[in-house]
Amino acid sequence: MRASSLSYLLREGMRSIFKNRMISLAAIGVLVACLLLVGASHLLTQNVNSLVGYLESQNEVMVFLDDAAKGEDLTYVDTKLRALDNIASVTFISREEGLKTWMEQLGDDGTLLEWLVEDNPLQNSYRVVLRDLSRMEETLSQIRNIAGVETISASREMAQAVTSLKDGIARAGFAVVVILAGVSLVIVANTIRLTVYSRRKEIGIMKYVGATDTFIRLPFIAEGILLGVISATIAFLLLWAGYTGFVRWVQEGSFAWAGILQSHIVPFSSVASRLYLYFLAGGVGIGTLGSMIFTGKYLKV
Amino acid sequence: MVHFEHVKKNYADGLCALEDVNLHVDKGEFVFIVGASGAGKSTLLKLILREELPTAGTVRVNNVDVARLRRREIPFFRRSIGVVFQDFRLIPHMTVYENVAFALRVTNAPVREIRKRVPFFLNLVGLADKARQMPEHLSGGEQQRVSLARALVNTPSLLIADEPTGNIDPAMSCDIVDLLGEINRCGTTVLMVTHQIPLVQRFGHRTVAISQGRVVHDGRIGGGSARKQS
Ligand SMILES: Nc1ncnc2c1ncn2[C@@H]1O[C@H](COP(=O)(O)OP(=O)(O)OP(=O)(O)O)[C@@H](O)[C@H]1O
Ligand SMILES: [Mg+2]
Repeated sequence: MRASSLSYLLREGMRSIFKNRMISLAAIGVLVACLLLVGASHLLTQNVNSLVGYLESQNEVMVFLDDAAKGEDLTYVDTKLRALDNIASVTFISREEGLKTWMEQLGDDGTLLEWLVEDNPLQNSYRVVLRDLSRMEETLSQIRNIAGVETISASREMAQAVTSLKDGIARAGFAVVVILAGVSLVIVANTIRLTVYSRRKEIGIMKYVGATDTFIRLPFIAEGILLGVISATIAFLLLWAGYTGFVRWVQEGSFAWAGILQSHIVPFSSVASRLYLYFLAGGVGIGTLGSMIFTGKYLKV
Repeated sequence: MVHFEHVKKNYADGLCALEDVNLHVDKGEFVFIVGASGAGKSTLLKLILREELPTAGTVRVNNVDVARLRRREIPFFRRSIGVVFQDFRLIPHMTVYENVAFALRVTNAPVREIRKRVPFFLNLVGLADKARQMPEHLSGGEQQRVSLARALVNTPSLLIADEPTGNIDPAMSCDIVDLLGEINRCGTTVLMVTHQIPLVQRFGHRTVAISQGRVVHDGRIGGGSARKQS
C-alpha cells in the first residue's frame, strides 16, 4: 500500500469520527466501559491467583513413615517423592527434629517432654507442598504407593475450596470477556453502519469512478480500528489511574486481611504491557470485525 | 464501441423499461439520446455501466459482454468509462482539486501522475483557478465542469452524460456541450442524454429517440439521413 493511501485512510477515518462525533463519542464510551470491565476482571483474576498461590503454598501434606524404614529406605522414599511431578517442595523432618520443634513450641513447659527423648513416640515424616491442588487426590495416591509410607495427613477441604475458587474465577472471567466482546461488536457495527449510511452517496460516486470494493471498505475499517485504538488507550489510562489508587488504599489500610492483601497485591506495572496489548488487540479486532459486518450490504454493485 | 442487440430490460417489479433495443455506436461518435421522462434513457446508460443487467439480449461495451463480467472485474471495466450526471455528484467536503484527484486515487495512481493530470484536466474545463474552492461555492455550470474533469481524468474511451445540462442555464449548457464536442474531437466517444431539443438541433449530432422503451428514431434531427427503426 502506498503511503498516500495510508494517509488517505487515516484522514478519512479521523474525519468520519469527528463528523459523527456524538455517535463516535457514544461508541467510544461504551467500548471504554467494556474494556474497563474486562480489565478490572483481569486484575481481579491476577490478584486472586496471587492469593491462591499463597494459600496453596500454605497447604502442606504431611507424609508419615513406617517406623521400620531406616537409612536406605529413607533415601528411597526421598527420591521417589522428589520424582513426582506435582510436588513443589519436600522437607524431611526426623523424629528427633520433630520432638525438638514440639518442645520448643511448648516453651518452658517443654521440659515436661524430656522423658520422651529416650522413647520418642514420633515418626519420621516429610512436609510436602503440592504445586497444583486440583490434582491432590491423584498425587496423594501416588505418595501412598511408595514403600515405607505409613499415613498421610492433608486438608482436603482447603484444596477443594482453592480449586473451585480458581475454576469459578476463570469461568466468570471468560464469560465477562465473551459478553462484553459481543456488546462492543454490536456497538461498533452500528456506529459504522451509521457512517456508511450517511456516506452512501459518496460510495455511489466511488463505484462510478471504478473503486474496488476493498478500496471503498477500507476507510470504514480504518474508522473501526481507530475507534478501537482510541478506546483501548483511554480505558488503559483510566484503569491505570484507578488501580494505582486502589493499591495505595490497600497499602495504607488497616482492615482485616490488609496484611495478606498488601503482600500479595499485584502491582500495575507487572500487568501493564500485557493489559494494553490485550486492549489493543481487542479494540482493533472488534473494530475490524464490527466495520465489516454492515459495509457489505451497501456495496452491492 | 457500444452495441445493444435485442436488449430488453424488466425491473424487478415487472415494469418493462426497455423493449428490443438495437443500437450501435462506433468509436469516435457523438450521440444524443432524447425521449420523454420515463422513456428508458437512464436505464440504457445503466446497462452500459453494468449497474443493471439486461433481462434479454446482449450489451457489449469496448468488446466486453457486460453480462459476463465477474463482480471483481466491474470496477476495472468502469474505469474505461467516464460518467457525468445531472446533479454533478461532487463530494462536498473535498476541494475541486481533490474531487478530480479522487478518481485517480481510486485507481491507485502514483502521486506523480495525479499532480500532472489533475491540473491538466482542470485547465481543459477552464477551472484551473478554482482548484482550491469547495464545490458549494461554484455555480452549477462550474460544478458540472468539475464533474466532467473527474470523468475525463482517467482518459476513458467512452463518456456517458445523463442530462448534464439539466440543472444549468441555456448559455452555460452550450458551453458544456461545446466542451463535450471538443473532447469528442480528441477521440472520446460521447453519449449524451438530454431533454433540450434546441441543443440537439443546434449541434446536429446523431440523435437516438426513445419512447416507451423502444428506439423510435436514429439519425440527425432536421438533417437528411434519418435511419428509421423498423
Ligand atoms: N431501479 C428501478 N426499479 C424499478 N423501476 C425502475 C427503476 N429505475 C427506473 N425504473 C422505471 O423504468 C422506467 C424508465 O426509467 P428511466 O430512469 O430509464 O427513464 P428516463 O428516460 O431516464 O427518465 P427521465 O427523463 O425522467 O430521467 C421508468 O418507468 C422508471 O420508473
Ligand atoms: Mg433519467
